[in-house]
Amino acid sequence: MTLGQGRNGGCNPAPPVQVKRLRSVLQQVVLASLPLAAGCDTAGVGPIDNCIEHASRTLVSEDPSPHAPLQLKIESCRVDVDACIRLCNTLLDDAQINGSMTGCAVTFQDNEVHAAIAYDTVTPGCGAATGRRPDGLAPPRRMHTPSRSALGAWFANVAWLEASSIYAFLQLARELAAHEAPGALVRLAQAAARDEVRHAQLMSRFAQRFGGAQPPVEVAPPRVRTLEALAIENAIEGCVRETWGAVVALWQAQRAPDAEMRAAFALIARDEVRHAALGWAIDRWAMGQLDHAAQVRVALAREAAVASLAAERIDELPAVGLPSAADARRLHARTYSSLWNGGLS
Amino acid sequence: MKKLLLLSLAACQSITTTPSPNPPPPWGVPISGGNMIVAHDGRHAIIADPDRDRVMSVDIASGATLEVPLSKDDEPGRLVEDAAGRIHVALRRGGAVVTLNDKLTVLARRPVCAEPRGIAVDGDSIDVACSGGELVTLPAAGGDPTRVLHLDRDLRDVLVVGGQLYVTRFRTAELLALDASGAVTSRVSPPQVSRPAPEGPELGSGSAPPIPAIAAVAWRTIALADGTIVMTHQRSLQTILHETEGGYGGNCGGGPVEDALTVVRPGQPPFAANPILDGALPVDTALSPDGTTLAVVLAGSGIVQTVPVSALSDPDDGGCKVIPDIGPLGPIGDDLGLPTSVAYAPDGSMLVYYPELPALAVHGTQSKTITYTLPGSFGYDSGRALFHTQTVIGIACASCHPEARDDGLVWQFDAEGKRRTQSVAGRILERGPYHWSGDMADLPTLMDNVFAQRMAGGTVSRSQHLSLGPWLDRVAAPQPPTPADPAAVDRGRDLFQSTDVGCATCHSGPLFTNHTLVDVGTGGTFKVPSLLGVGARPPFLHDGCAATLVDRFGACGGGDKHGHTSQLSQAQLADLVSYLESL
Repeated sequence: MTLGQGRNGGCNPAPPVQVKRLRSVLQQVVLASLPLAAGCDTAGVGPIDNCIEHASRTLVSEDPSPHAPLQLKIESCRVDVDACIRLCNTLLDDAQINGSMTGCAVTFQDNEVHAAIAYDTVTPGCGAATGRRPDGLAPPRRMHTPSRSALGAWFANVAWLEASSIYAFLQLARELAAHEAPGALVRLAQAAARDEVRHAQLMSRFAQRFGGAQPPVEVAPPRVRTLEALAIENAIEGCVRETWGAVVALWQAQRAPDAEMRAAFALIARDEVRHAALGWAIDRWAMGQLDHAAQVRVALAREAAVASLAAERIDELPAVGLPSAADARRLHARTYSSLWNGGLS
Repeated sequence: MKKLLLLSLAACQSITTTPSPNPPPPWGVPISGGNMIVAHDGRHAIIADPDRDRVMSVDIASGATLEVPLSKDDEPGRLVEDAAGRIHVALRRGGAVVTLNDKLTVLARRPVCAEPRGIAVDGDSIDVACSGGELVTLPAAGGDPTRVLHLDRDLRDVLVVGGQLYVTRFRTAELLALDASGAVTSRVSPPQVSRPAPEGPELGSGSAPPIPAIAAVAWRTIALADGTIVMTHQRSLQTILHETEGGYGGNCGGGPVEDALTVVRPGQPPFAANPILDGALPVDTALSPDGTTLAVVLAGSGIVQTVPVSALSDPDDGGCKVIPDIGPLGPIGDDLGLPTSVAYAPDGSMLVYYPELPALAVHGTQSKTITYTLPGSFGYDSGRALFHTQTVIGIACASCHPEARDDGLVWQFDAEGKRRTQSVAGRILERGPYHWSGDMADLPTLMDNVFAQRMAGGTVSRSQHLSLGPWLDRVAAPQPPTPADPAAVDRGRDLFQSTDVGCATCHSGPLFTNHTLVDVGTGGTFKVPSLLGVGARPPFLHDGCAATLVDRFGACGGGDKHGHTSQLSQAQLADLVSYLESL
């Protein structure tokens, strides 16, 4: 079965999904908060974060390996030193070291492969806290295991969040269809799920590159809730968290020190703005369906989410272009004054 | 004694080596896919190995192998088994069909055409579809061709369904039906669909029009038991491409090329199934023995995706891809490199072939997987891998340059305007500078710009920079079909080389280009393209305005600024076209 039901359902006129308007607002928020030297300043990049620890280890594998995927990487490394990175990453994974590899030197000795690998690990808690989360999402199993890498752990956590968002949007589409929302909103929610697949793949690849291991996504079976419950969740996850996710991604697209990361975050930011705009459009449609008391409850939930976001811990990882705590406060304040305080009009 | 001592010392001495600092020589051919069948005995997988020019037989239960070497550069491709148990293999560059018995003894090698592609059993005969447009019928038991039809160029798969003969065309993704006399009785293409604009519809505030998604590149076409034909192909979104970081992305969360399944049921128009494949380069498709599941090799993402046949009834309604709820089915990845072929054994086991190690993964019905490392030298080429591996926006170089040629499409770029995809086959290293505007001095520059930035492919390694060019350079230009009228070709050659007409002034030398930038009245200054294999790559000129080589001498061809041809008669133009077709 595919999620075909409801794609053309709903006869209500769809409220505007103001992607361009929202993008303009959020870009202004980010631009106004960027330092003058934005894009050129890479100072602070490197292992300066509180959570990073350096380590090294020599891992040994038999050669040839009976494990075909490992043997493929051994043979690739033998004939091309550039291919050894994949071998070292695989050996780290096999040794269950969640480290961000910083060095890899391989030698072949008789019937063994020796890989001297330098890597970074970090203390727990270096994660991200944005994006739409589905109803019934279980906490990530391995979030609190020790010895998480800096970049690897961060990307693994973001990949987990992006993968969670796939379920969130699929669930959103189901519930919108069940509440006979305009077909366009249902379709856009399904399209957003598709975007999140890409985002999850993208972040997962970065996580793999930096030695992170992505926790599995565990979600309770979907259910159709009341429209008010859906509206409250959308106010929190769409109008606040997706919007904040778009702001942070826009910032990272400017500030990440690595061109490849900047390109990735630019792609994600473009989609996240669209998802946030969808959240605001759903908000407008749902509010039109609810009575006054329910509308007040939705608005209060949104305000509480904004306040809660301001109180969340800000990770300081300039290696992925995240805003500093001070920058994040500025971004939050500007998003509040430009958007959350008055809505998207 | 002294010798013995030295030997024993050597035996005890540990030998340490380090990885090679430079990449190895080029290895392998462009992925075409669909090189494996399960023999009628149900116990053996027969694998054509185009990268090592051999055919293997693998015992599915034990992994024991037999192999037969073929000639260098034969490039064995599609293969079939006839009712008598003979294996027939199309040699893509060898220009022949080789016939083997169950012990892989060569029974016959029969020339058929310059570039055989598809092959099918048709009763006591074998039908072979060729890229030059020939459809050749051979007696299965041996002997000369009994029939040679000349159809459109770029033929791909050939199928016999319910006594009816069908052939596909690769880049246009057309399906041609033929009657008993060989006449084309119908010609269908996958329906055009649309996708939401990249920015998402601005509902209520002047929505952006949807983007046409047109059919292209029919990698693999198979028939189901009930006669339904399923074509696994690409769709190309006719969107505007940007030359910025990630500028090819943003379409439904991915790039401008997506996978598609088109269904043709007898007596019904083609039907675009809901797009649920997720990965670049859908190079092979197989049907499970119970008829319920399709397995599609997505070479660019290194996986095989299984799809319920029932999902083929869901229509493509113009939205972005949705995530199918397909229960236990889903993507299967073995982490063994780029897969090229998939087949099912009678017990429902799914077999996937990975050419690099090389390896055969057997996915049993009880979720048990056995991987056989097959005999043969290890195959590695980081340029080849880069060319076929999808980036984060879900496209690979080979998405637009399938088989290291071209997709036959014209793309709209934001700054440059329309640009027809150029073929990268045929002595690429001698063809710089690259692109129609000649703005890419060399391949590393092009890789950093197009792959790393526009396709969001990430940093290109030193090894990849060094490897892609030499690997591509080995890919031959398309071979022309045997000309129907050699005298016309000779007359056309004389015209081409005459100073009065002047073609050879710019289209000179062995590559038919003098590598300069010239304004020939077609709307700007462009790099003189090589004409090697030109007949295989319509449409023509930088914006694809000429659908045929005849049209090239029409209104959009630049007139006498582009060769002095206005004085030529229609017969002379036809001769000139015959010559161009022969290059």
